[in-house]
Amino acid sequence: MATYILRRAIGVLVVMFSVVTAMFLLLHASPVSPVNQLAPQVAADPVARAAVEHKMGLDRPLVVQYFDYIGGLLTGDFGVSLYDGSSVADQIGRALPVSLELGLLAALLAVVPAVGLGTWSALRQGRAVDQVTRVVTVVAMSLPGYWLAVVLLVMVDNPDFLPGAGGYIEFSEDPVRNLQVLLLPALVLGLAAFAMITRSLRGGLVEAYASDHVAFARAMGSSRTEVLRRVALRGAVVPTLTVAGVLIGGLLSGTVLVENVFQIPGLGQLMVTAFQRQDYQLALGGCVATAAIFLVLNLVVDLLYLVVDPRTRQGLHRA
Amino acid sequence: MATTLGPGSRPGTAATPEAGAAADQAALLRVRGLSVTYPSARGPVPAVRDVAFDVRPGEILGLVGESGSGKSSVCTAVMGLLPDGTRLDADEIGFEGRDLARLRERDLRRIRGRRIALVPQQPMTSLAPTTPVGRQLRWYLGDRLDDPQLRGTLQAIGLGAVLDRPHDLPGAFSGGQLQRLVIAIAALAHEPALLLADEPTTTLDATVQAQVLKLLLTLREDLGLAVLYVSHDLAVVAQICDRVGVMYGGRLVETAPVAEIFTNPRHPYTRALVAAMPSTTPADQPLRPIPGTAEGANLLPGCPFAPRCPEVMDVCRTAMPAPVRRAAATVGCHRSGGEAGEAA
Ligand SMILES: Nc1ncnc2c1ncn2[C@@H]1O[C@H](COP(=O)(O)OP(=O)(O)OP(=O)(O)O)[C@@H](O)[C@H]1O
Ligand SMILES: [Mg+2]
Repeated sequence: MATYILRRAIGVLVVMFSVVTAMFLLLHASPVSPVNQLAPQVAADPVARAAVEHKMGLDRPLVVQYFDYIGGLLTGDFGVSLYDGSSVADQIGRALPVSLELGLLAALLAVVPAVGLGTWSALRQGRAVDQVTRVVTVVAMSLPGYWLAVVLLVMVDNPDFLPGAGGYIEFSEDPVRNLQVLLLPALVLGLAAFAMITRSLRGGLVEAYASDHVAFARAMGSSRTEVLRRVALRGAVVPTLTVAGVLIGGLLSGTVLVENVFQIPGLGQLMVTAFQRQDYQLALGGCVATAAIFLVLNLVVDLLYLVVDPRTRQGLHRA
Repeated sequence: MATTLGPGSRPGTAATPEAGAAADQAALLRVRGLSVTYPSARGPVPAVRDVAFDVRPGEILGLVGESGSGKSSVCTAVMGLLPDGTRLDADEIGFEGRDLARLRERDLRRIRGRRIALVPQQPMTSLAPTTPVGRQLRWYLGDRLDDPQLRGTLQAIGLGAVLDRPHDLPGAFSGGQLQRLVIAIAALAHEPALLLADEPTTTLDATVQAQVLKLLLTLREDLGLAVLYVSHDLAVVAQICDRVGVMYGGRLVETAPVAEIFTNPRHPYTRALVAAMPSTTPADQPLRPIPGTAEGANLLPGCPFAPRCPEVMDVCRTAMPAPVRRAAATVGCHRSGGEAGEAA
């Protein structure tokens, strides 16, 4: 099993490396250049332009720039912003925790009620709770996030719950205010995930309840809840884990729209700014951070499978 | 209902078909007027219709019938495990002095597995696929799993492999081992008085099937349990059952001691079934399959077998014959009942 984990970890590194390479080449192949953002007299004057490009190191051969960048990454150096010369690592370091906190809060607001409601409606299959849950989840899935965000901004007329422009406050500074400000965006962000996890769990449980081994457990006198704990949940959790892993990956890596509407200085916001300023270093750094979150979460989900479904473990021994 | 029905009363009015038998031996399970109706998109599906039978202590009662005749539904109804939305009607499901049809879920749960156990139709999938067998044995058998005598029994029925490899998942064992394991759990966990075995050997090959049948007979001997043995295979039933009930289209058309079923079948369907058995057909003669299909038989107002019956009469299509006693058999047929249709 240790070799499996090692193999998977190496796989993550390989994918990571490919993502960085692809993003690097893509950005450098495109006609964008941070020089375009400078004052028109500089951007239009070939001599001044060349001087700036030289200062930024953009006139070096691509291969050199590439190895320079990779070398920097390996030592934790993401380079400096081409816009204002500040450290990219520092900027990501500031934005990442904000996005992670928002994502975690959204995941919590999605998963906790989803587990409760999914289980409850599976136990009361076809009854009122189940019907209501179905309607609620369909509505929740079909509401566009940005629309909901704007509606909430207009409707919630309480400044306590709205950051206002740049009004985000860090958790360490004022936890209550921080959570208040993050509540609405987290709700918007988590809503679709909540609906999908609810449905996935309910579907998995209903299927598990219809299975022969649940029927046997019931015939041996187990109660519905006992069966749920011992037999059904395990079967239902496996497909739900996949869904939840992907969704939570999306939540954690910062969502451009929600962060923008609610003025949350997270990774999504950072990337938008980077692309607007044609700041490749910063954009590249943001991509690397996002990809890393996704891949690590994927690895975690894969490892969770081993815990939840021992058949995968035995499959590994045979392989 | 009729209070003074004895063996001498007029057969045509026998509403309680086993009233005579009840006098000689108290039934362990006494089912009367059992009907099961499933909901479906195309309207209610009557799967079991007005079925009555007894299982006596220590006996093996076979329940045979084609696929879809309602055998499993009878078992599920007795266990009180019909799916939500299913309609259960019963005058009585009497068991150890209680009427299971009228018990609350909480009380039914104390009977399930303890007094009545069910061996389901699918042995391969009846254990949770992701939990090691040892842990599942522990769920069902509890501390008794450490009892050397019980371990000895498990060894004796060929489950040594399961005891030796408790950390393996069910998928690592053969179908025969799993079926014996499931039967062992059902029969040994609480030593119930009644075992409902729903086609426990259909998915197994002939050798393994023989082992499982032997196991059932051994358990009957040792524990004195009664068995309702569901099968669509008359040959298997002939090997182990004391009496046999024949189901068709949701109705129990005949119940008789096993010897009578083969030597003196009374219902035309039973006769056709026996005639279609390979073992009753001389090798040089072709098998005689029953013409037509059982499709839709459960929806007919009269005798469900009427469309395929060689001896069909007009009355068969409109009225279900009342079951009448003939010697040790109970049969529901206008031909046997004579005036039953008019008298009822
Ligand atoms: N859950 C259900 N919902 C709807 N209809 C059902 C359900 N279970 C069984 N039926 C229907 O009820 C009828 C009797 O089914 P049942 O499973 O009791 O038959 P069976 O005699 O056990 O058949 P088999 O030999 O195939 O196991 C069939 O027509 C079947 O389609
Ligand atoms: Mg069946």
